[in-house]
Amino acid sequence: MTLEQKHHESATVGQEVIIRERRLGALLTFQGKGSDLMKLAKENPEGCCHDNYFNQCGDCSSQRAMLPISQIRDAALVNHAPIGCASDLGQFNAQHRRGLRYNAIPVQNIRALSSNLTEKDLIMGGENKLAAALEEAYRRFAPKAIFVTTSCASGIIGDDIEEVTLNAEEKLGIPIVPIYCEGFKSMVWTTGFDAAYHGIVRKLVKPPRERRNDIINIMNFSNQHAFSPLLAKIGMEARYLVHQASVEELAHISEAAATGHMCETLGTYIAASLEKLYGVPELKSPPPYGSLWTDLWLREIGKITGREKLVEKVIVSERKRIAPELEAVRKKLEGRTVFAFGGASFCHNMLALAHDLGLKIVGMMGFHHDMTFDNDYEEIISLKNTLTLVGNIGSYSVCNKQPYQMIKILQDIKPDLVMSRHESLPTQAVKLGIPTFFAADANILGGYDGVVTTGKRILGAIKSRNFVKNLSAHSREPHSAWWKKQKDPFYFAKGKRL
Amino acid sequence: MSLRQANSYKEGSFIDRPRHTCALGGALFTLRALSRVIPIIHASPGCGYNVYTAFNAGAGYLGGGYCGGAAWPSSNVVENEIVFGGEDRLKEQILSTLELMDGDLYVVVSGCMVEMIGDDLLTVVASIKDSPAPLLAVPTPSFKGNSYDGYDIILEGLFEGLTRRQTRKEKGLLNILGIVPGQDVFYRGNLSELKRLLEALGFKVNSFFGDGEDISSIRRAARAEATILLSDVAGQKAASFLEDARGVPTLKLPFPIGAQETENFLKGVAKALGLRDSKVQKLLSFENRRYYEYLERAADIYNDIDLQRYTVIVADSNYAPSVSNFVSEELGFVPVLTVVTDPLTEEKQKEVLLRFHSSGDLPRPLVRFGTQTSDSARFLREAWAPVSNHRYSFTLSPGLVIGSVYERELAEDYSLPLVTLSFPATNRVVFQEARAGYLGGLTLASEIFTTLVSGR
Repeated sequence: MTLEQKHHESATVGQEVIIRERRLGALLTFQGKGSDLMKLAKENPEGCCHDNYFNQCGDCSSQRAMLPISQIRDAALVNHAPIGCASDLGQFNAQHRRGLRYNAIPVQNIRALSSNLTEKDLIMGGENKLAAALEEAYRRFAPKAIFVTTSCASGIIGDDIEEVTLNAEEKLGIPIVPIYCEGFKSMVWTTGFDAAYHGIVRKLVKPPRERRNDIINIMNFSNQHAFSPLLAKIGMEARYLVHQASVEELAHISEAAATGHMCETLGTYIAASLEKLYGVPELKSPPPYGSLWTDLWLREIGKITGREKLVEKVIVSERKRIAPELEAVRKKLEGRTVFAFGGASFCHNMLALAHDLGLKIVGMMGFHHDMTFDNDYEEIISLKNTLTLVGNIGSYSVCNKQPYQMIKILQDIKPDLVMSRHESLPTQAVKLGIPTFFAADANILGGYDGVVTTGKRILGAIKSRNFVKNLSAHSREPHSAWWKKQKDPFYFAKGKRL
Repeated sequence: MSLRQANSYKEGSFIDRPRHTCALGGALFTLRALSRVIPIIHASPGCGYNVYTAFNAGAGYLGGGYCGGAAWPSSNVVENEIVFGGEDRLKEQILSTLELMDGDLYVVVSGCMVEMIGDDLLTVVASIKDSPAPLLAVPTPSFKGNSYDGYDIILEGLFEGLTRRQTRKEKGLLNILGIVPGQDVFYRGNLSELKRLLEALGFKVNSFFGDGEDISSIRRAARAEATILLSDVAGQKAASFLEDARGVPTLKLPFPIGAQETENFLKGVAKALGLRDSKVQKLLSFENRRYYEYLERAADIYNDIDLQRYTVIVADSNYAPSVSNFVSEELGFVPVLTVVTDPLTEEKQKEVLLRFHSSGDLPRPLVRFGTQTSDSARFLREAWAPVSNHRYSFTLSPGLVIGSVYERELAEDYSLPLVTLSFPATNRVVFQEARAGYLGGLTLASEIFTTLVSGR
């Protein structure tokens, strides 16, 4: 696909989003230096997505699409799937309740149904059942919109989701938003984020009534309002999206002055879509992690909204404000080594932060890698930004959430600290006795205050290692003696095939 | 109340915020609960992790354990395999797993997609001759059933693959079935408590998932004198297999919570296995004395501040009757509504209804069957319509809700305190504590009372 085609297709409002393997040349396996990956992306922007011939369970588009939309506070969700695909609604419910409480919105459970496809439906088709589930969701929850997420099963039997949702839309008089996120379609589960945002842009976002020069969209994971105090200093407001947002709020995200994101992996697709369809510019800067990137981020906002002078003043005063505390934290962290793993671009953010704190970066592992992003702006290529900021990264790997590889790499590098995002995986480091800092709430790490806060929390993690030490002394690794002796974590990507 | 009215579950209808997962999910968490067993998932990417997320959070943060969570081997088949078949990919995944993962048993399980495209797990597994430990395949597609079914399907598969019919039984050896790891948030504590009591009577117990057990307990299952089945639903198939194909009779008893039910349970086992009465009496008198010495502590506060409560219970068919009986018969509470949440056929519903006792002057509580999470609120509205809006009119107060975290809304709507005990229980981290037996009953009573005085 040429770049031009890619641009055209990615941000239009066709039925389905193009999967990341095709759209962004996403990779799932790589090992080398950071600069090697950069070079590879230049030489081969279409990538070559292949997987290992031993795999541990990863993640799927469906799960990643369902999480953000289950958090939209006055919509309902119908998962058109066998019951198992709705398994983690309980977890999403816990997350939603926490988010609502934090945002001082009346706390309620998520509103979600499974169409519960059974063996009979897989033979006879599940369209009637979906129609019934949509009506039921409307009756039970009185939602402002209903999302429908698809599944491997609904995809294989070929249910006509467009038709069912259009009919229901007519009957119920609210937007019914199909999200095409069948797990088998993409090996790259972050395609699910794109699928969710695609549905939102396609069905919910309306053309702008006005342009709000004081509002910025922030695509983020958990809606902590950590950027608001900083933005207030330049007279701006953040609209945190999409968790705990309302359908009405989503309708008007086309009116913002710009779209920023806390992670390019998460937000660049919707940012590019809003730019192409409604002229909302995507911020051409790295996200605000670490002092320098926060400077760049504020300057870009200043440039777009005509607040350049004010921004420069704020940068000087903010930097001055945090300087004493930052200096003290840096001194205490000096010389400590850090390894990061997480979604590719958020890993880059954590490294920018680690660099600002004076930690020594010894490597990172991204869960996939996008060779390009939807907007071809040099300024948003997170790998390039990272290498420019922190220098080359000696041990850079891309690995699709595979603990057997993670353990080997960590055993080899033995960092003082692991920084991570993505639940359940830091356990692998803990079992090796390595303290971890988990970026549970990505927003808290952002901005100038985020640097100091994170530094202090890392100090805490390094200082008291007793839990980690105790557990590592008593945990068992499920790998064979042969694998423990194997030198190459990527043996199963390169070794002889069956 | 006619059963028809009570039945909101229609076979195969949509489900609002399900309180269970699929057959694959039940199978994986059953395997997760066995020591050093390596599952090999033949499914789309995401199936394994999705189920892990469900149980980790919902089952009191159970964790991935030895080989679970993100570490479960999985073929992660995608579009290519749908077109060309996934058997080659499965074989590759099995061979690499055998090389890389260290376990006492390898079990191939499947998700919907590979079953829909017709992959044959059994043939693939049969083609692999060289394995460091036994290798089995058990198809567990999601559309075949829920997680309670998955528990049955996988255990039947393990019994079939790892046991032979034994003519000589091992005296005093018992199996326990019917407690589903994960769906029962307290499964391990429950098994451990029941095992403690049975061992005190001189039995040896295969609880399969208990402290210190490993897959040798599965291997020994066919040598047992009997299988104690503690559910009307889960474990039925696995127990029938042991009975029909391996000659181990099934002894079905209610899932016991608290002194009274546990006493009945122990007497039931003793009677069926021909144990001397005096031996049972000795244990019962010790356990009962200890139990009531503790429970008596609550007597002063119970009477001083009126801890007797109207109770709404929302739980699966193991817990719903047992908790309902426990709070009414032991704590003297008044159950006003009990909702049974797992998907049950009408026939099963009839069986479960029989588990509810009527106690003293109290009629049986209103029992409704509702798999939908929003059912409970509807049932309660029907059962307890406010008589008037008068400020001092009689309301559902003082009350208590015992259920899952999904009952928070219901509890808030009626301003009632909530004790969580059923899946999903994302608000608790559960280790060894039990809800079954004597000690489990005490823990439950203590938690209920703690909740009621927690504002003090």
